[in-house]
Amino acid sequence: MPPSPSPVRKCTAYFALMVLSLALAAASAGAIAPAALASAEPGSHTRAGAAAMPSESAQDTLLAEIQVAFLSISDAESRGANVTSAALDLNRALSLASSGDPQSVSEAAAIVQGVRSSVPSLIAEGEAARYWGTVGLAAWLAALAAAGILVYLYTPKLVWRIWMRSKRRWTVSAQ
Amino acid sequence: MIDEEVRAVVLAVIVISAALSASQAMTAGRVAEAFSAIGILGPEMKIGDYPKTVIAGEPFSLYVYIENQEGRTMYYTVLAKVGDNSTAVNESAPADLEPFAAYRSILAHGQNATIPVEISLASPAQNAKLIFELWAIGENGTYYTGRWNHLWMNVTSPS
Repeated sequence: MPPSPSPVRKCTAYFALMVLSLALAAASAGAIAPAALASAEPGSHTRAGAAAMPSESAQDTLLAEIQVAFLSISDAESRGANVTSAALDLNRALSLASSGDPQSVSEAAAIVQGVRSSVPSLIAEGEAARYWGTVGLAAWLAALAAAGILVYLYTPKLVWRIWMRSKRRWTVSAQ
Repeated sequence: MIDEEVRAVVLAVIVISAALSASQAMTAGRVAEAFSAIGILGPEMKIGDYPKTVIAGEPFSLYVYIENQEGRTMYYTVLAKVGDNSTAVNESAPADLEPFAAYRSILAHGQNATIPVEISLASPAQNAKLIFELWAIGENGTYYTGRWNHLWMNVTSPS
């Protein structure tokens, strides 16, 4: 029978295998582009042809504000925020802006202001969600590592105990 | 002997499942290949039945379909232009023409929009090239995504 390796060397090898696997998983995750939260709802749209702009300057100003608001929510999204609702609001503002009706334009401006004022809270929520997601992942990995150690230590004892229980009614006869 | 086998097998299963679950958790919600799409639909919202001959000054209907698979929220602008045989447009360079209309939409990842458009071409032309270019707004301003569609049509004088 060949000599078995020492328990310390075996533990080190298993630990190294586990660390290597986790490093590979992290590397594969980092190689893929970041994504936003998805939604199945279609976006609205606006048409802004040259002949469809009753008040060019007011509409241009509003479009510029919408663009600034969009860049704000894009930044928030890159920091983990869920901006689906804000994007839908901006789309609605785009639709209202295209109408050219002064009341619609002022309503669109109010929506844009609302979106812009909501960005800090969206960022805070996104960062909190990202933090707790990381904590959850770390806890899950720690639990798996602990399970590995416990299995390594107690599985043989458990297996033999079950075997003994299952065979306790056996009788041994010698001939 | 059974001790070593049991330990090795169970621990290997745990290590592999740990690696897989960690990988899944880290890659959840991510996209491998980001892209934007644009398509032109006919008056019946189908691919085909595009108008081949239109009357100058008379409006006709089309639909512009755009889709966001970029992995982030996008602000798209579709620019409509009219050119001719000599108008060049490709993945790297938009047509060097002034747009006569713009259609805007903000889409979250995975969303799409079908935009009804009503177009009226002012002057008669043979082999007019009706171009729809997909542009997007980013931190560094508006940029051409390299996606476009075009339709060939004849524009006749009103009788």
